[in-house]
Order: sequence, then C-alpha cells, then structure tokens
Amino acid sequence: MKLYEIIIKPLSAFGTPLKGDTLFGHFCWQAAYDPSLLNGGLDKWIACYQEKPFAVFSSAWPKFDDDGKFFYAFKRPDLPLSLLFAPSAGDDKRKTFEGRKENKKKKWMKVKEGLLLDFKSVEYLTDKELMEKVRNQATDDTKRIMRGEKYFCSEFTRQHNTINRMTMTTGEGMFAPFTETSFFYYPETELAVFALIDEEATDIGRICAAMEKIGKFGFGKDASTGCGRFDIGEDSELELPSADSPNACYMLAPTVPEAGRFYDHYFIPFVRFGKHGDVLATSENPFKNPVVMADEGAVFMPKSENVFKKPYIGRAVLNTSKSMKQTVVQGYAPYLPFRLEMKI
Amino acid sequence: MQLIDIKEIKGKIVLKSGLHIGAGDTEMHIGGIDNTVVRHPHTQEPYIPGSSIKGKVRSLLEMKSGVMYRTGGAPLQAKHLDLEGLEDEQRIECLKIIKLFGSSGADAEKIAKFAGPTRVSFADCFMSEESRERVREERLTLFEIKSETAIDRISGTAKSGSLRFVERVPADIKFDFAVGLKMLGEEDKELFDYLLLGLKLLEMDALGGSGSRGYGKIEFVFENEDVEKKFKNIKPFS
Repeated sequence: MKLYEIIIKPLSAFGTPLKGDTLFGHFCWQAAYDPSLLNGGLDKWIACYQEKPFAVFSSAWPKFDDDGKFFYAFKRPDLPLSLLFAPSAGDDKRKTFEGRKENKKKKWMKVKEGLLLDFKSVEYLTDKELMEKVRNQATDDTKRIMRGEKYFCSEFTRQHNTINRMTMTTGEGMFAPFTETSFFYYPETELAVFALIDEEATDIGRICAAMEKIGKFGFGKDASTGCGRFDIGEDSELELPSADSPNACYMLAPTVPEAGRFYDHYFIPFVRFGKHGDVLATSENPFKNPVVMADEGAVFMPKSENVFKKPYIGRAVLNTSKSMKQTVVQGYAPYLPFRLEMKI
Repeated sequence: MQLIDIKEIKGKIVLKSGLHIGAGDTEMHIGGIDNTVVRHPHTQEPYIPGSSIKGKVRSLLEMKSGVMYRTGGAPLQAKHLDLEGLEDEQRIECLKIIKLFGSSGADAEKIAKFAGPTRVSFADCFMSEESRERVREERLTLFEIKSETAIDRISGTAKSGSLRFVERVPADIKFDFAVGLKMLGEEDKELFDYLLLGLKLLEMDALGGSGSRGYGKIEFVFENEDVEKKFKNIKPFS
C-alpha cells in the first residue's frame, strides 16, 4: 500500500469530527454512486475488506508552518502523564507536582513533516499554543478579525426550529426550538488526512475526486444545512513512516486492534454509535451496532516485530447494520512506529 | 440510481431590508439587547445559516403545493404521498419536495423506492469580501438595533412594557451563497428548475424573523448568466 497526504481546508462548521472511520464511510458512499472510483466496483472490494483493505484513512490533523518548516499537530499520546513528562534526575519534586496541571493542558504533539516520531525530543503544545502557530500562518486580514480568539477549535451552539406550515411560525411540540452543537476550526486552518491506498483498487486522483465531492456537499451531521464543508488542497505521496528499532505504535485514527498481537495497550475507549449516511440515514434502522474502538492517539506495544511489516493496524468490523448486511466499519488505522523506553 | 453530476449554484444574497435570524440567546447580559442575530463564533460577523434557507425554501414550496392543510402544518413526509384525495399534480410536486429536501426515517421503504437520498445541500452564507471591505472603508456597522413597541388602541400611545429592541443585519450587506444539487439520473434534471422556483419564492417572501413587518427581504444574484436569466424569468403563479 502507498501512503498519501491530502490537505483539507475547512470552510464551515462541522457537526461530526473528521475521524478516519467516518471518512472511510463517506468514501464508500461516493464509490456506491460512482463505480469508476474503485476498479471492479465497491461490492468487490467491500467483500474482501477484511483480508485486503483497499483504503485506510487517518483522522484529520492540523498542519502548520513554524519558522519555514511544516509540522503536524497530533493528539498527545494516551500514555500516563508520568511517562510523557517524566522528571529528570535531580528535578525538584515540588516543581514537578506543580507542573502537572500545566502539562495536562498540553493536548497536542508536534511532529515533523517526515512523520518521524522521536519520543524523547517531542514537543507538546496547548490548544492556545497551537492556535498561535496556526494564527502565524494566517493572512493579515484573518489576524485582524480574529483578535482575542483563544481556541484553535471552538464549540458553538445553534438554535433551530421547524416552521409550522399553517402559521409560518414556530410553536409547541414538533415546532419548538431546539439546539445543535457544532464546532469551527480557526480560519485558514489546514488539516492533513493520511490515506493508505491499495493501487490495485484505486489511486490518489480518484480518492481526491471523491474527497472533493464530500467537501462540496458536506461531511457528517447537518451536511444539507451547511455543516462539514471543506476544500481540497495539495496531495502528495509520502514515505511510509519508520523509526530506529521501534517497539510501539502511535495510532492516527480510531482502531479495533487484533486480539493477541499486543502485549500492552494505552488508549481511551471510543464508542462509535455509527449511523448510516445517504439514503439509509432515513431508513427504519439508520443506527449501526455500537463499536468499541481505541480512540486516535492510542499506543500499542506489539508482541512481535512482524506488526511493523504492515503500514496499518486493526481489523474490519462486520455485522454492524440491520439495514445493510454488507456494511463494514474501518477498524484499521495508519500508525507511526516509535521507540518507547519504559521502566517495567 | 447513479450519481451523474453535482450541480453547484453559486452567487450572492443581497439584503434589501434588515435581516434578523435569531441567535437563540442562551444567556442574558446586563444592558444587552433582547434579540441578537446569529454570529460566526470566531469572527463575530453575521452569517446566514444554510438551515434557515433550506427550511424556508422547503416550507414555501410545500405551501405552494397546497398540501399543508393535509399535513396539519407539519413538514411533508413520504407517508403523505398516500393521502387520499391528492391530485396527481400535487403528488408529483410532493415527490419533488421529498427528493430535494428529504423525509423522516419512519417511511424508509417508501423513500428508498420512490425518492432516494436528499439531493440538496445548502451551505452557510458568510459575508462577502466586497461587503467586508465596504464596511471597513466606510466604517459602517454590521448590526443595527431597531426598537419596536405596541400601541395601546385606546390611548393611542405606546403600551407599557411593550418596548423591545431587535438586532438586525442592515440592508445592502452581501453574503456568498452556494447550494449543491446531486443529480441521480436524467429524471433529476427537473429538480434543478424546481429548486430555482423555491429560491424565487423565497425572494418574493422573506428570510428570517418578522418577515411580515418588512424584515428579511433578499435578492439572489447568480454567478452563472444562464441561471440568472432563467431565475429572472420564473413566474411562479402565472
């Protein structure tokens, strides 16, 4: 499989986070309506997805320019803080404890463009620090408008209502106002999605064409009313990430790891209460069975070095839908190999 | 059913009168205004949510189809296609509305069989660059405050406690408008014209709150000349 980076430029609010499994689901709907996106059509590749995934998407991660060099901001690994911010010998214990609260705020991990994760020298950023980095690459107009903004990603509650066609006003019951929450990225933010592609099935040109359509029509929740719009930027082929004598994997999307392949796991559980999109969104059973996943940012310690031979980890999840038997959930995720030194 | 095209209608919405799309204030501020308008959370500029346009266009098309009495004022759903006494023409219009805007999940089989997925997708309309520059250069305000009251019919003066302040986006501000339309087969081409009809009705009616008091008059200006010409020639009631 080949690894590509696709740049996404958000244009509106999002109701659904840009996670790998949801991006995969959107791509499948595009392929369902456009058979030319996959050689031989979607059905052929979905049938063998368990053994041979045709595409594995990562979640979308901020990419920013810092002093002329590009960096990614990934989620801080879900490792204990004592491991991430281990005090050096001779450090004042009091200061270490006092620094814990500050360290907790550092939710982002800065990784260089080559995707080389050196755990010893990695730098962590708070949401505010990330916002500053993104702000630095914004145009002057945006900087002026955004004075005082503190967050890279802001939550936002919008009120909606259904109009009573008889009175053309709101009212009680089904016509009562209700609220929906969505989130906005800092303007001019660029996000990177990493896609592993089996060139036997498709190519980056077709993946980008599908992504462009998704961005035009909207991604996720409330797409028909303005949420989830994005533009596509450049795409580029990347070398598969590597590291010196790696013993751990940092996950770039929610994963369902294969049983028995890892001797240790650090993750935050994420339950995907999946819902069908497109025509099945309004079907009698639009909800898929919940899938428990390890959220992006998980760290897995493989038992064998063989794990590093494949550029992805995880497995496909089947039998999740009552409406469409063929439904598959992307339990795969691309990962960054790295060396994790621990005192056991 | 195969996706053959995604048509994108782009253009500008020009405000012809003050626009009030309420923010649905969830908090109160001392000395603050009663009814604020929706703002972009980062830039604090006004914008028109796609949901406001979609909802109003749909409700106007449903009004025009004449089935609102049969649905009791509720949005048209796929189950209403089975209502007795519907004329063929009304049924065809109802199907177009469901194809364009979607239907609720209770009638799954019917939707899958007759209509398919929701075809239309309205983007949020953010302030145009042209307006942004004009506001900056001429030091205009982006929000006007309009006071309103009720008149006591006996004394002929303002009724006690009736004074209220409403925030509006002033006339002449322009917003970037975009709507996507999925074409799932040749027969969907008629949906494009039907969508334009809905937009025409919106132009003739009003967007947002207090439409009957002059708020929310808008004009569409389309980028594509053919669409602009077609839109100008639509006469919904002739």
